Amino acid sequence: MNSNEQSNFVDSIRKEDRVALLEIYKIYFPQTRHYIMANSGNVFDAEDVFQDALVLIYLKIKKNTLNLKNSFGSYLYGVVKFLWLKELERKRKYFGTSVEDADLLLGDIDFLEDYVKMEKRKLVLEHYNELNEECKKILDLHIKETPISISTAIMGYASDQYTMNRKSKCKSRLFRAVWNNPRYKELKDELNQQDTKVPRW
Amino acid sequence: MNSISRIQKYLDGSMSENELKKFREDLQKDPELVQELDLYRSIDKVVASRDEERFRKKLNEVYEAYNALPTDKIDKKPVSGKKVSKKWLIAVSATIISTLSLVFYFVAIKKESNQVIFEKYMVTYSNNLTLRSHSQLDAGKKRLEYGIQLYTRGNYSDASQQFKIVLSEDSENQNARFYNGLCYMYLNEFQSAITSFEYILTQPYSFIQENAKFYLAMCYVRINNDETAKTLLQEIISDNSSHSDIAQKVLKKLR
Repeated sequence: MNSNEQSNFVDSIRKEDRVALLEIYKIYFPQTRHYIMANSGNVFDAEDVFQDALVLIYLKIKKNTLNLKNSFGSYLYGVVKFLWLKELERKRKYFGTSVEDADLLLGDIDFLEDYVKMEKRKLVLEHYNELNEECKKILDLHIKETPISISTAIMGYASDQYTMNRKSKCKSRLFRAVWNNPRYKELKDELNQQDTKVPRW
Repeated sequence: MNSISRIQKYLDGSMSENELKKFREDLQKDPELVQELDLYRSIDKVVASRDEERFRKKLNEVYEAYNALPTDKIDKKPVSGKKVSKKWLIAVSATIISTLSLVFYFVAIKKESNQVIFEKYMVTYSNNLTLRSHSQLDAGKKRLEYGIQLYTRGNYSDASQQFKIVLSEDSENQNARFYNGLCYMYLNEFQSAITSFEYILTQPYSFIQENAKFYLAMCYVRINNDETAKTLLQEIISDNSSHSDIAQKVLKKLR
C-alpha cells in the first residue's frame, strides 16, 4: 500500500467515509482479531478494541495531533496493542512485557492522556444514557443553552425555579454516577501514576 | 454544603464574596475538589459533543456490513508494510505448491471436521432487547440484563452465574435459559447447552425457539452427532426460519 493510500485512510476517517471504513475493517480487523484471540481475548474484545482504536485515531485526526511516523497500519496496530495491553492490565491477567512497549511503539507521549480522555468520555456517555428520559431532555436543553423559560414550557413544568432545580439534580446524579464509578478512579490514578496534569477536556 | 452544591454555586456565579474566597482557597489545597470541578465542567462538553458517539454508531454499522461480507472478500493480508523479496516469494510459492498438493489429497478423501464446520457456520447471537432505564426494571430483569451485558462482553462464566440465579427464582424464564445455553456452548460445555436448548423447545412457542433450535443443531454438529444435527437442520429449513440459509449450508457440509 503506497503513502497516498495511507493518507487517504486518514482523510477518509476524518470524513467518516463509510466505504473507506469498511476497507479498513477488511484489511486490518483480521489481524487484530488474531492478536487479541492469541492473547487471552475473544472476538467481542477484538471488536471493542478495534473500534476504540479507530475512535482514538479519529479524535486525534480531529484535533490535528495525529503524527504518523510509519504506515497507517503500523500505527493502528500499535494503538490496538496499547489498548489491549491496558485492558489486560485492568483485568489483572497480564504478566508479560511492560505496556510501555506499546506506548513507545506509538512514539506519542500524549497518547496515554488521549486514552484516559476517551475512556472518561465513554463513562460520562454511558451514565448519561442510563439517565431517565426526563433528565436527558432537560440536560440537552441546558447544553443547547435554551432559555430557561422555553425549557420550562417544553418540559411542562410549573416554574423556572423548578426547571433549574431539576436540571441541577439531574446533573448531580450524572456527576455522582461517574465520580463513584470505580473505573473513573482507576483512570484518575492512571494519570496520577504518570505524574501528568489533571486533564482538561 | 456538599462539594457538588458548592461547585454548582461557583459555576452559576451565585457565591457570596466570602464563599468564593473560601472555595478558591480550598481549590488550592484540595486536589480532589479540583478533579470534581473538572469533571463537573466537562460533563456538558462531553454530552454536547456527539461526534464520538456518531462515529461509534457509524463504526457499528460498518462492522455489521463487514460481518455480512462473504469470507473470500475479507483481506487476510498482514498489517506489516515491509516489502517481500523475490527469493522469499519463490520459496513461499514452492512451499505453497507442495502444501496445496497435500491439502488437495486430504480434501479429496476427507470432508471438513465437525469442529471446523461448527466454527465456520457459528453465528454469534446478539441480543435485540431494548435497554430501558435501569430503574424501571425489577430485580430479576436487572439481573438478566446484567447477565446479557456480561455475555455480550464475552464473560460467559460470570454471565452464566447470573442466568442461573434468575432461573433459580423463575425457572420458566426462557431468555435466561437461552442465554445460559449460549454461555455453556461458548464454554465448550455442549451437553449442558443441549439440555438448555432442548428444554426451551418443550415449552409453549416463543420467538426464541427458532434460535434455540439452530444452536441446538450446532451443538450436535460440534459433538459429532450428525444424525440428530441433520434432523434438526432439516426442520429449520422446512420451518423457513431465519437460520434456514445457514442450515442448508451446514447440512450440505455434513453429507
